[in-house]
Amino acid sequence: MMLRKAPTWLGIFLLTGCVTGAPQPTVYEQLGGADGVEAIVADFVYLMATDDKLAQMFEFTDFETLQQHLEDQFCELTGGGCTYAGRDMVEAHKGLNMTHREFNLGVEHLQQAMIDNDTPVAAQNRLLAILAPTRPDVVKK
Amino acid sequence: MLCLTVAVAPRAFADGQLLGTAGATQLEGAGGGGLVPWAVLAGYGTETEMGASASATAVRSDDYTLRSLGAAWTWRNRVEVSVAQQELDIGSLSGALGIPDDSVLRQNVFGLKVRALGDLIYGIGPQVSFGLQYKEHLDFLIPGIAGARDDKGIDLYVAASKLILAGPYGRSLLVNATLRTTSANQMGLMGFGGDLGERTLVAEASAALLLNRRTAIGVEFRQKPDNLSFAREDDWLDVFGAFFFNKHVSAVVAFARLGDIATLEDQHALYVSLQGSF
Repeated sequence: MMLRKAPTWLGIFLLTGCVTGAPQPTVYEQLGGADGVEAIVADFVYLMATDDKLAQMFEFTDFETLQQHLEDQFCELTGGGCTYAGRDMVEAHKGLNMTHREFNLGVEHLQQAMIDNDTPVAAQNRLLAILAPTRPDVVKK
Repeated sequence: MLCLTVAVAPRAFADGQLLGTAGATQLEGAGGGGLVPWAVLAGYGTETEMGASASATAVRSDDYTLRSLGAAWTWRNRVEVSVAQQELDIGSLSGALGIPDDSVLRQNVFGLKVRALGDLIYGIGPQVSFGLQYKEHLDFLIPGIAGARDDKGIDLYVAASKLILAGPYGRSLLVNATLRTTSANQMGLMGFGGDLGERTLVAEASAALLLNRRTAIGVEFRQKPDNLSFAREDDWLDVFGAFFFNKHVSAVVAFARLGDIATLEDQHALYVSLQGSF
């Protein structure tokens, strides 16, 4: 009796996510467009650059270039219509030998930057979901 | 020399995983939800760190109170070792059986879990872990009278967990499925095996939606064996809310439907668990 009921509960819980309404704006728009992405990236880079635990990642970094590259990349990946012209992810992180811990610290700084810019939770998660597949190209290179 | 040691040793204070991804501590001491062990390991350690957690849980139903204290230690996000002691106050049942009112049923659970493959968040597949729980009952008189065959038992399980970062409504959704082979009656608190059966394969499942970085709501289901004709048992179901204050303190509150327990029918319970992790 109880066995039969449980999957129904779970089913309802999972199915509610499939109800969709009007066409969604692009993730780029959800992040606040060019201004939004610029503000998020500026805070993101600031948080990383001032984190002692990540200092060795940025020993030779030109932060202005990094900021521009991140803006272009986020814009391209979220449907903003830009073109990222920097090095590919493997090349850009070569020699850093980044650990999973350091990668996750970066993720937390990005989350914090989005929270500080009042980015909606859904848009935060959508950007993270878009960026997550880059991890194998970034860590331990 | 000192520098070398520091560089090689895993970091003492692990906080390399993302908030909430350590989950909670399930009743038997393993990292997971409340009722179900998940594929995630206790604590926030990554592959260069150690992690640890300690938890205190109370479950109050119509006729029973269960307390569980647990501790777990994780090595490099690969191996989790855990221990839990559970103590069940059998209040109303003592009266019905005519035994002293302060009777408790206690058991120790020693757990081992190994992450076999995959990652909770990254990559396509789920994180998959294999686990073992060795349980020893400390007050076997009542389970023995009820027909339990043994005061010790071993559960083996495989769990698969995945966090979908942008799930329904753009919220992160954690799904977990666990398969367990067990002879434990009521988790072991009513002993192991009985006249209706010995070892059973049971399915368990969890789903949790992270409303934001700190708050999750979800449901859990745990199928149960039914080995004792004298004391039938039912599958368990709960709905829960979890709050992660930070990576060191979290709390879980749940409402559970536990069904019949040791002859007392239709138990509904409030579940409260506090956890510290590193």
